[in-house]
Amino acid sequence: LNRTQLEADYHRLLIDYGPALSRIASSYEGVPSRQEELRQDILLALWKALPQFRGDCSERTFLFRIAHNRGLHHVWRRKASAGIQEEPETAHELEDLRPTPEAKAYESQRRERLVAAIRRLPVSLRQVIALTLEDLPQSEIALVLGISENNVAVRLVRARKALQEALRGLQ
Amino acid sequence: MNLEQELAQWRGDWKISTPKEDQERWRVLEKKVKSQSIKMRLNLALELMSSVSFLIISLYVSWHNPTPQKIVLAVAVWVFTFLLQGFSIWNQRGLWGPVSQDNRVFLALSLQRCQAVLRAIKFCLSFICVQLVFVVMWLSWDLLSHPETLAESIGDHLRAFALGVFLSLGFLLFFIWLQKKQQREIAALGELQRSLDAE
Repeated sequence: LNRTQLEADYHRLLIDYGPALSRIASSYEGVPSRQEELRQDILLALWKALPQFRGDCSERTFLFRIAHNRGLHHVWRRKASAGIQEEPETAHELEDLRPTPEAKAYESQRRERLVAAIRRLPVSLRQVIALTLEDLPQSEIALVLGISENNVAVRLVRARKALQEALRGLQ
Repeated sequence: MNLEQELAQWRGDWKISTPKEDQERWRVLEKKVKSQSIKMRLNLALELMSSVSFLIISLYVSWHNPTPQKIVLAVAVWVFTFLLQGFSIWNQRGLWGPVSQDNRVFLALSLQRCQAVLRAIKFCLSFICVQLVFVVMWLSWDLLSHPETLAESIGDHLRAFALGVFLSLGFLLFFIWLQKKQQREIAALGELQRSLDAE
């Protein structure tokens, strides 16, 4: 690929999948500044990996693999640097979920609550539910995560139960 | 509400459109990524240029003033540089595959990369010791080979020796810090791998 073609492809991917990448980043990190860092990290990894894309999987699988790999990288780097737990939300983040005096839009609050609940799940369940919500079939989720389709199905059942509980916890 | 309905509702909530300002933010991010990519290439080029400069300078000095000390110094610079580069290539063999593999392969590769960094740190610590011994021996040899100017040049040699020790100590502290950081990362990575495998 020449440089112009590469830049055009990169730009197209960002337009097509930018919001999905944003959602993936939000499932790994709740603090806005760190979420931004993670998004940048994903984009940089995509930019570096794009010339090596040979079409041996779909563009979407390629992109979600990169995003989740960077998400995992973010999780273990944070744990290593601060020795913090990956699941619990900070008090500040939870506070943001309550109705504010400025009355955030109802839909936006619902989304924030769902994302916060997803972040409370163990990483393995979080990945499966996030990819399911992105409309990926189980066969493609298995390709992204490197596990069997059966394993995806089992994780999805657990993820749904865990998510229901997490949402109840945020009521 | 049945399971499908529940999933559909979550999917709807999950995909509620992000604010319009996001478009602008993506453009800014895209620019940042491209400039970051250029910076990374520049850094790599600078590293390469500095290595090549050391090699050329050592060759130039020994060519114009071919005393045994200068020739030994030039040879040492070449040997040390090639040893370091050779180890670096050997240590990273097979570890820089594409970042788009599946999660499982990526984690395994990441663990190998962390272990390669630990190997590199151990190598560098030994390398610093060898270099320090060489510097001390070379400075002593250079000093004693000119007894007529011993009094004048001892100050310069002592300063050079102090600089060598100071730099070595700096590197030593840096590598100890890096080793601890890397060990913490390996522990966190192992924990993450185990938690994913447990499901």
